[in-house]
Amino acid sequence: MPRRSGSRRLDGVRSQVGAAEGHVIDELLAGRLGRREFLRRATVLGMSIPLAGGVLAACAGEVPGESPGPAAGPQQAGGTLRNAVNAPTAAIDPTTVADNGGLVTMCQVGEYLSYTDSSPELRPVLAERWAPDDTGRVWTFDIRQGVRFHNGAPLTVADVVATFERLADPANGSNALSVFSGVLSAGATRAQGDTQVVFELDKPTVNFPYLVSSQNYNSMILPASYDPAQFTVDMMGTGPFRFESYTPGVGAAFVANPDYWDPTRPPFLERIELKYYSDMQPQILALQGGEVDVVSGISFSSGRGLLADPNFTALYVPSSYTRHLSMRTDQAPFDDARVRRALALALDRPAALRALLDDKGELGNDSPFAPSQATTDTTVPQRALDLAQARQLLADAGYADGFDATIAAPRTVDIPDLAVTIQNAARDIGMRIELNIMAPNDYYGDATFGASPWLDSQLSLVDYGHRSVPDVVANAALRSDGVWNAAHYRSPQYDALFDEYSSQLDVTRQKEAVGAMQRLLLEDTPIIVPYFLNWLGATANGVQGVNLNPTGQLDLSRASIA
Amino acid sequence: MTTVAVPPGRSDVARLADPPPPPRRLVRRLLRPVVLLLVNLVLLSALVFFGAEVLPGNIGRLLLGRTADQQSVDVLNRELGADRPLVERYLSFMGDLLQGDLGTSLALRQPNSELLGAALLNSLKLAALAFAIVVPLALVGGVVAALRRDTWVDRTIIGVGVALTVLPEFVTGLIAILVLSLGLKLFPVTATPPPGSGALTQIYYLVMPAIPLVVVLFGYLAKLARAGTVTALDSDYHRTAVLKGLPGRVVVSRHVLRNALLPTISVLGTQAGYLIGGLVVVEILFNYRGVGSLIFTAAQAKDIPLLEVGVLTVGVAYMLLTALSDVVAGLLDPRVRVR
Repeated sequence: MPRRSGSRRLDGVRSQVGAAEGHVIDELLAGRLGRREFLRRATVLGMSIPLAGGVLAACAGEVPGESPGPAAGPQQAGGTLRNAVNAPTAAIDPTTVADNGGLVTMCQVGEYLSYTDSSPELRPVLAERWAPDDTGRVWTFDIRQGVRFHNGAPLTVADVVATFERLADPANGSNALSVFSGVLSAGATRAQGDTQVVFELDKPTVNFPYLVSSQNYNSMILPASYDPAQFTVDMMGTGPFRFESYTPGVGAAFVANPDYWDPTRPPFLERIELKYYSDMQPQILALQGGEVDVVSGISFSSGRGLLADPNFTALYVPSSYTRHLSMRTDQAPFDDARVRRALALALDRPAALRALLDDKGELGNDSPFAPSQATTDTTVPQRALDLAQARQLLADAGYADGFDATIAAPRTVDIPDLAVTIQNAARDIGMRIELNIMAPNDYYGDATFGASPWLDSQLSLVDYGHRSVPDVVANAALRSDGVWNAAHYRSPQYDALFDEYSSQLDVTRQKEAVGAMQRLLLEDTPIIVPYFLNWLGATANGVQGVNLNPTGQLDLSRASIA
Repeated sequence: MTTVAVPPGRSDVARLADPPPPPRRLVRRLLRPVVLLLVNLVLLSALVFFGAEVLPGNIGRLLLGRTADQQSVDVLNRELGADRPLVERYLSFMGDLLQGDLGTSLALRQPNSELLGAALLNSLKLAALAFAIVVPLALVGGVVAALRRDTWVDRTIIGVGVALTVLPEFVTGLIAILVLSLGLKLFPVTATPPPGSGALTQIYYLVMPAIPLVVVLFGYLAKLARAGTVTALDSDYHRTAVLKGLPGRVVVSRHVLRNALLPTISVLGTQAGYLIGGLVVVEILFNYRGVGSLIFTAAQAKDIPLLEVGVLTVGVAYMLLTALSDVVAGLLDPRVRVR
């Protein structure tokens, strides 16, 4: 029987892994984990992808498989790839970078401990493997040996420790502080021998490897001697491309690194050019005019024509990039969950997705847990349009005649159109909603409670970027003490479920916690999540291997041009 | 064509008869605009500095994004000096400026002089090319319209010209891109030439962004040139020249054109301010780094030192070019020179 032979073959694997990994293998065999979730869990716990793949192969036929993507044709070496990129809005400093242009620029030279993109698996890069202790509070990472920075200096554990100390220390103004808050404090990262780095966390955090992966884009590994003022002069990293030139506001160029440490992944391209643009429309025109080969991070509204053009290859990447409509749960009339559910039931999500995004996305179910995230419980029923029930809920709450309300929203990409869609939906159940669309800077204000229309308004729309794991958004946007909790949602039950989820090494119980959070959020409906968007890009025909990462990186390490 | 109509007001003879000003009055007359210019610039600087303060958000938050930790925002604001009192920041900025130090961009952490120098040079190149195309076109158009006054030629030139003026630059810019760049593949979409390009290549890259500017300015300038020509044609010196028996071409080139140019030149000075500092849309559409988009991005990031020097540069350029156009007008018109 295949099952028994697979299990026997797995005995060899079991002897190589710890208890937590063994548990994940058991869950796979028991059918409680799909292939995708198994791969994600296994890589989070530090099992290498070949080993995890071996486990899957041993179990072939025993677990539901996923069809592999289309095979790419042979790729040619050499050539220069020209990319349209948003102009960096600030000096490029990996520690503080927050804008897409800066991130796309620095990620051409730098690497992370591990890499994750639209698929939730972690690919080991500068860390070869990692493992938690039994509680998930202490994590040990084995740093890859033989890696050199572009100036020839070897990558050491001291560089890795310095990178994370720099990010976790509040005195440095790092942009990763909000990710590490409550998880990794200054002084908690130390070297163990010459090859290992140990993180002692503030609390058990099962998804910690994501917080030190490319997902946390500020955590690019830099030399211990890093000087922010020097970065745009030499852009020191370990990646497959080396810095050639940088002109603020104009562009940057990189060349293949002949000494790249990974002989299995040498770059195809000889050279990369980034051309900076301050708006999306000129980037699309430049691609159409043959002046660049790649445009990434396109909004659907500006790229509609390009994406339909057969002369170019459109790239669609599923992601957890999304919008939240937060309703003030502490102020009448939205302090009544029936009113919030009524508004959610009035929205025709499939119609909105089709009209605003031409179906390039997935339906949202009023929680931050996206279909593309592996822990999401897909058995939770999808909320759908139900005007009769919505009207009944409003009547039950004492608002049979409707009421007036206002949505505050930033003027960016599809958000104003989404606000109008919600406004029209609300009209069907007697809610009279006015729109207050503002310039993004006005809207976010100081981004603190009491000084931000985003966090203070009765109804507010906001976008959240892609994350492979839901931890950061599920915490900050919905926990009682969350710093982005625009709904002012206070639920001890949610808080307890979130803590259970984030600290639970047991896979089944973690997934149960997520399912429970999803059901609780459907009941309470502090936020309406209409859809998750695809991350969009386009290339000239003949360009292959461009990896659009919805986190914002543009990975050209496997790209080629005919 | 020989209608006699003496314009109201003092005759030219009376103006020419004014006594030349005594030397002290001359000094005062030369100093006055300089003092006025400085007062204007100080007022402008204060207006921008204190006005920008009411823009929402703070630079630390704008640079780090809305999801950054408040502690990081506070650290960055302290590092950039953005947490100091407004008046203190203004006085220190102005103090540095008086010593010739244009300061550093808070967002890009680069010397403002470098950022501004490159952008100003770009803006001047584009403005010069736009002028070089539109001025001859508008003059010829205006003069021809005036010579064919009230015919279909006149109505077509002025009518179409004025109609085009109301088209926003991004509309004409996009049409130009669709037709000339994407359709006929005559010009590049992006106006920034490769580094180290020669003058001709640079001009080639700048033709596209110059088109919407020419379209916006043509109708206005052609109308002025037409009005100037009509006035000159109606004047008694024109009648005299014609009665003297001078050939038509000589009358137009020597008497009419020179007088028709005058109002056009003085208006050009004011348009230069727009061309140097006001081309946000065109610069963004054609991806050209000029002063307009520099000011725009500085305002968005609340990068007040860069915003300040950008706006002051446009102010100075505007005032200098207005003065320059006065000088040119003087060279063309002896009456202005004497006054």
